[in-house]
Amino acid sequence: MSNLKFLIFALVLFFVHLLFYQYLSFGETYPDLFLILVVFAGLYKGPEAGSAAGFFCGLAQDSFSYAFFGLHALTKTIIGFLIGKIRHSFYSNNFLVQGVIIIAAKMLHDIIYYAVFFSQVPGSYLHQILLRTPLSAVYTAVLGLGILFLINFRIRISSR
Amino acid sequence: MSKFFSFIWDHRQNLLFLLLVLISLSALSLSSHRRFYLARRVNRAILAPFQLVVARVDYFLQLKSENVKLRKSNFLLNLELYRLQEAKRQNQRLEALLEFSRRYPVRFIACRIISGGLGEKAHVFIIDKGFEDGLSPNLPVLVPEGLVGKTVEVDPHRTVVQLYSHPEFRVSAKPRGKEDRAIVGSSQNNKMYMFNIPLRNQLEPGDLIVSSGMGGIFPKGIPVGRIVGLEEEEEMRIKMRARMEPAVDLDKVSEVFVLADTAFIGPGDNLLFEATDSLTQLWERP
Repeated sequence: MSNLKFLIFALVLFFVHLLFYQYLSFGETYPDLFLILVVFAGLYKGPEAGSAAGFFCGLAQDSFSYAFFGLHALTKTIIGFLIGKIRHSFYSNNFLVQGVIIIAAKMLHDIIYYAVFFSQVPGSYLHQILLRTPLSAVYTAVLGLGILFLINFRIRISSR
Repeated sequence: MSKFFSFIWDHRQNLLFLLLVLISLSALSLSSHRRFYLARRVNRAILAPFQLVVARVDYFLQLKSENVKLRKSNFLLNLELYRLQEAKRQNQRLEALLEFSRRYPVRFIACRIISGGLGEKAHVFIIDKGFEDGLSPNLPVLVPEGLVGKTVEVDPHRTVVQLYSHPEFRVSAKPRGKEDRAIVGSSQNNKMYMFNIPLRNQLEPGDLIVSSGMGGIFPKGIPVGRIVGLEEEEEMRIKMRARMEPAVDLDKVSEVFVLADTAFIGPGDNLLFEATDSLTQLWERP
């Protein structure tokens, strides 16, 4: 993925998140658009970009939640770094593989994030991880791949 | 020293990761007051530019949808305004008609125009009353401003009115207060003229021409029009004709009165008869 394409992708995700986040809910399931950005930063640009993207995206999310300021930054930095590290272990240009990576990243993200968030209420943690996180992970993957597909398609059309 | 930088460069991925993790953990361990302060600063620094753009886009979208709503509402209000204006005009017309019929104890039949003929310039009106309502042929048709025409064909519930603009329409008329009687009618070019005026006459532009009462159809005193100018008749040059501006603008007429009072109507179709009474007072009283 070229730098330009990645920049467009990042901006689109950022704006979609800020503009339409409340309209993207599917019941009580919300997608994590910033996580998609972090995953693709790690996949296409390596661990530095992955961890930096994770840190800044997490910080942006944290700026809305004062109670655990830094928690999103921490988890997303870890995810971005890990994906950057293991990106050569699989064929990451395949759409299906990318979808699986997003789902796994979301699961790992929520496992770390909610372990701190629900540290006082283990019941809620299990409910979140077993019921809500898988749905949110699938939804995030579908949405992320959809946006990536649209951007690829648009760039292919404009470069003809 | 170079070994130190070399080490940092070689391990930059891990070091950057560790640095960011450390910063995140430090942020997590801050006191709630500081966390709040930092969150606000971060929000302002990272998200403010995006939020500004988002707010602008949101504002634009809202403006657009508001514009659509306002256009729709404006259209509906215009329709309502038009309906109210039309009702007001109709009310004024009906008030004038009512006042006209109250002014003098004459039997008028109020009629609504249901068709204005098929020509470009209307020569006939069709009104919604017929002989079952008391109408018959050759009755004067009026509005408060003056003469409109006369009834010609009468059906049970419909009547054809021959208008003053019809090429065959003629009415004996004279200036109010003077005795220069002549015939008023419309030429082929739809202009109203007073024909057969003697060369020596007392007519002047601006004179109000009213029906003279001759002919047995139109009583005396119904306004027909005003003289605009005098000119010689082209054919013989021993008579004059006067160009006239009609008293009634037919385009603005939607209700009329038919004078069905036998006290004013001459006996039979004999056109030499004079109408038996005068309506002059109807237009002279305030």
